[in-house]
Amino acid sequence: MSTTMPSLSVIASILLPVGILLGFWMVLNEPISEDPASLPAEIQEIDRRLSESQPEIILVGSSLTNRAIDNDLFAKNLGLKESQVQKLWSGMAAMPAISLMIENRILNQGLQPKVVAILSPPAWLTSTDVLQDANFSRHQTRPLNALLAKVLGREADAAIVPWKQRKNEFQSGYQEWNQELFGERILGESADDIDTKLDTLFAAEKQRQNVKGNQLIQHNVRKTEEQREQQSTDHTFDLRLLESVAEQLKEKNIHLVVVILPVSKRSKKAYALGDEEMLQLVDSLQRNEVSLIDLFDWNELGGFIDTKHISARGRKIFTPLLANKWTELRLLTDQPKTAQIPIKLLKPTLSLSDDTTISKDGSFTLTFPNSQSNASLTACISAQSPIERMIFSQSTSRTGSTSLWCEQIELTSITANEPILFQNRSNTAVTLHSLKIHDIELLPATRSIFANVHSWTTESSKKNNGFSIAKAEQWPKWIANKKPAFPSLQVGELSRYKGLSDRTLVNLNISVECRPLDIKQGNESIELSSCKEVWTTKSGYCISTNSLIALDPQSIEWDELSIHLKTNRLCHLPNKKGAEGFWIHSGDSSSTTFNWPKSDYSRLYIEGMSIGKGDWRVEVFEGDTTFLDTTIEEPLDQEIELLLGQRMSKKHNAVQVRISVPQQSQTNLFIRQIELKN
Amino acid sequence: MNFVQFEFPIFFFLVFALFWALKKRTWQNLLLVVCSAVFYGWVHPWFLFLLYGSAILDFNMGKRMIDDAQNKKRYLWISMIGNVGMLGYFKYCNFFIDNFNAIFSTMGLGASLQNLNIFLPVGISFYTFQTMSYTIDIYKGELKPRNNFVDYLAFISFFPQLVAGPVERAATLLPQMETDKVFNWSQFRSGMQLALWGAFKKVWVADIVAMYVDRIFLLEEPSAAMIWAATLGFTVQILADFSGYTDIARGTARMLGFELMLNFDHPYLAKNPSEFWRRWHISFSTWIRDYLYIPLGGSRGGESTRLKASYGAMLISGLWHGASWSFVLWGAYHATLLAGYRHIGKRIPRRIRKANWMAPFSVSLMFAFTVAGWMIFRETSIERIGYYLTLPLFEGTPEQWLAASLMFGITLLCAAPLVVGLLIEKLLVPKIEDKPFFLPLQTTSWAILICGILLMHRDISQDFIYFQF
Repeated sequence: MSTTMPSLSVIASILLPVGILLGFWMVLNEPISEDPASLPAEIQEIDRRLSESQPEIILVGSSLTNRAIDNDLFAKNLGLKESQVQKLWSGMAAMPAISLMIENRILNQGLQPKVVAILSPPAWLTSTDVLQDANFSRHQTRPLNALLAKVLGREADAAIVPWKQRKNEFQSGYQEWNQELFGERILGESADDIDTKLDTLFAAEKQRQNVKGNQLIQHNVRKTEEQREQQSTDHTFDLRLLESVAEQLKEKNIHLVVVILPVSKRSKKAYALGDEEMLQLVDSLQRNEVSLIDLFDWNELGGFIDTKHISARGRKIFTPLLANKWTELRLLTDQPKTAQIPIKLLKPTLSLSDDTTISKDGSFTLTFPNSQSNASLTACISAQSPIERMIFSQSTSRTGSTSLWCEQIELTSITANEPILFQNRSNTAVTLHSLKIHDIELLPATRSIFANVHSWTTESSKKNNGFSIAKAEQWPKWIANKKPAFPSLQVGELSRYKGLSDRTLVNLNISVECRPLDIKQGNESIELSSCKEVWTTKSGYCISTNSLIALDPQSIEWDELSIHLKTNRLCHLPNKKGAEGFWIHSGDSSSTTFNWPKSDYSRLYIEGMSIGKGDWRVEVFEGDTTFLDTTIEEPLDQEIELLLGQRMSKKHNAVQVRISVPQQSQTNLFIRQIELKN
Repeated sequence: MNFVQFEFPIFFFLVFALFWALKKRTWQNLLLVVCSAVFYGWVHPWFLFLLYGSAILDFNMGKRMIDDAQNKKRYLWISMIGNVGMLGYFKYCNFFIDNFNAIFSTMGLGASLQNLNIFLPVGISFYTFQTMSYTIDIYKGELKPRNNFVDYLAFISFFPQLVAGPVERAATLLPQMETDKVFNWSQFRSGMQLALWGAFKKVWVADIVAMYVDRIFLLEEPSAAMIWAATLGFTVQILADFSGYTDIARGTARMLGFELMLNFDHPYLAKNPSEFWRRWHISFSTWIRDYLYIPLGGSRGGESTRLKASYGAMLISGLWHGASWSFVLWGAYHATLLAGYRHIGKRIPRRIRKANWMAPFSVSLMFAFTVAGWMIFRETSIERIGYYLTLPLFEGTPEQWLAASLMFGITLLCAAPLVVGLLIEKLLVPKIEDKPFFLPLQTTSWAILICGILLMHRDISQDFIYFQF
């Protein structure tokens, strides 16, 4: 048997890579000191910010928290200095990451805020999942505490994982280096300028809505994923981390508040907890003297940029709302209110036959899970023959017609688990269309139908010859100040429609692409842009309140200019379906049809905005049959729900809705959606 | 399972060790069938039913074509309907429903069909095409049906290429399944090199560029410069992503003793559209050529037949990539390029064609056309494509110019490893591969690649783009 020595080449080919890999692993895995100076720069920055500001309130959570709250506005609403409210957040932070951040960034740093608030959707509060390991390990600057290690199943691996830390650091360092190389060195921009410019450009509100990061994910895969998210109820339910955080904070005399953050309507199911779980959560919070602000049901039109993140517009509405609740619960005082069971969990169980028809002398019962001193209910009912009185003995008032009406019911001294009987006292069978307690519908929802937005027709409108635009003799000061920088600047003064300027539209969350005005020179339209675009591109026309701003090197013949309402009232935005709508101006009468009915309907729901004061009229009809004909005096502010004059049964398949604004009314309606509900 | 998941190297190490330990081919193929099932069913085990359903159908149809030769056309139709039907249902059903609804809505009719809750099985477009090639080849008399179901199933479900190709032909891969294997060091070395290089391209090039590209394509109102810089970024991303996947597939297969076909041959060096399709996704484009373009008339008829065949093949090829009109548009765009090239190319005088500057000029021009095509491919909304094309080319805010410059710079930086890789492969390796120091140099490069992959690997890595097709 002969043996041959491996050649030098073979030996080197084994030793060299093994040496490199071992060396690499040793460097990557070298223990990390807990010395603050050796922490990642990003973490040092967080620690420095919190330590320097010594905040009264620290808001802890994920990117949802960061998007939901405007720090400065929140502080202002609570009468605090801006620096007294600080955020501590990390992407995809569920309870394990939140508890880690509270422990390592607040408690171990010796901070003593008055209140720590955990802001999170419900399912993440009780989750034991590390949703993004890179972000989690970034905050793991000390070994995991025993409970967290146990919950995560990392008892054997509770120490800091140096290689993960270093890998994260390398990856974020590489990104920064890219920015530095191309932005700072090649383009000569300062790091701060780059950050500011990129933040402005990529602000969440400037991103396309409902588009996933990688749009190459196929059409049907994307849809299914969204549906999956909607339907998913798969989450862990573990209160140990939350309770441990509450205990640790209590020991340091820091009050804990749990704020349940909302997610968009279609994702609520995926992030919600079941009623029983919610009761357990509240019970745990009560035992640990934690306060609870449940804003999960908050839902504002245009309030979200995607399935769960609140938009810039939403933030401006949501922040004061949270501040109000904060004040209501006296959270900055020495006696903050602890968690209460949310009203939605106190909703009664309805016992009614499958059919919503209640026969003569028939009844239904409501059973409340808890004793309550009082409760208000609204029942909307229809009958085949006219009924003028209230049919339930508990009713206190009624509104509507004799064939379709709503009764207001006041209940007092409610005993837990004791059924309350509601008996039909009329001489005929009635149909129950809606039964609400504190705006919570107790009847199962039937399928609603929508008006066809793209089929609107303007049946009549005011003659539109346009209104003249005069050359402005006196320019508003802020415009005049721009003259030196923009020599081609010319300004006109509008005689009409100043209430329909872009600024108003933006304030009302109407897309500026839907601007209803048209400027004409003779018979030709001049394209209007947003003023921001005009200043940036140094050319074009835009309207600001009652000024027509023009950056045009040629002198404008003001006599030839006029302002008109666009003839096409429909604003069709294929890429922004949610922002589409139809304009109905003073003197207009417009109608559209509904989809094929799927059940009986009792209510009309209109979504949109009105600009200007004045009444408007809504009609729902099919041939000679009128289901609703009402004049509304109040403005349309996001949505309005109207009770029909009579029930609309399934057989009516050619129903139309007509909306008209009288000539003398000054209102302009932008209708986004119209729906018929049971 | 995904090639860049941490589980994959462990999985592959076990498969590799067991495969070569078994020695006997029957057991090796059985092992491949089982391991491929684990690999493919890792997340959704029910996907296996579809894979095996398609495989069983074609195995049987292939046999019947010989046993009952008179009716072989009928069996071919059954195979086609079965495979195309499955693909149509899982991939295109909701697309058809959406279009049906859109047509009805345009006609003013309110009726609407609900979308079905269908999850697109990963790799279905690849393996249905692969199994179809088996029955078509038998029908054409170019292949004999197999009796050994295990060998056949190992060919259909061979895990390295199951999810995103290369789309192997039965005539090339099946005989390899039927041949005894002997472990070969040089095969192992080149396989390892290829697989590591593929993974490196994915994590260091494709995934990094993707982060920036995705952000720009998400913007409501980007400038033209941003969109074109992002499209250039996507041009680099899709090559690194897809050729990265193919390299891992070919590398791992080679370590197991199988040779998968070359799928990318430096496509951005193509001088014209025909050459591009001979260099890009070669396994798929040759499939389309052999089973679609030629049967549709191909180059045999006159100009109009050729045009019809070319458009037919390219439109279907576009639709194969995804259930969206933008992919069809992308197919039409490439068909137009091919037709245009045929029309104009032959009219260019010979002296110009042979001029020294012509090659770099042609490569640059074809590259520009390819980049424009990727914009159609990347943006799935046709209306948005129209919007991008109407954006004034030289306008933008300072923020937009900054973002475009950063995107452009990062694209160049990320493309650098691809260029360096090409230079090493073409210029350096041929000169030193016989030298004694080549082996240590190669294993050292593996170690460096492994370190690089570990450093840049992300917990939430992007899926390979072609997984979705």
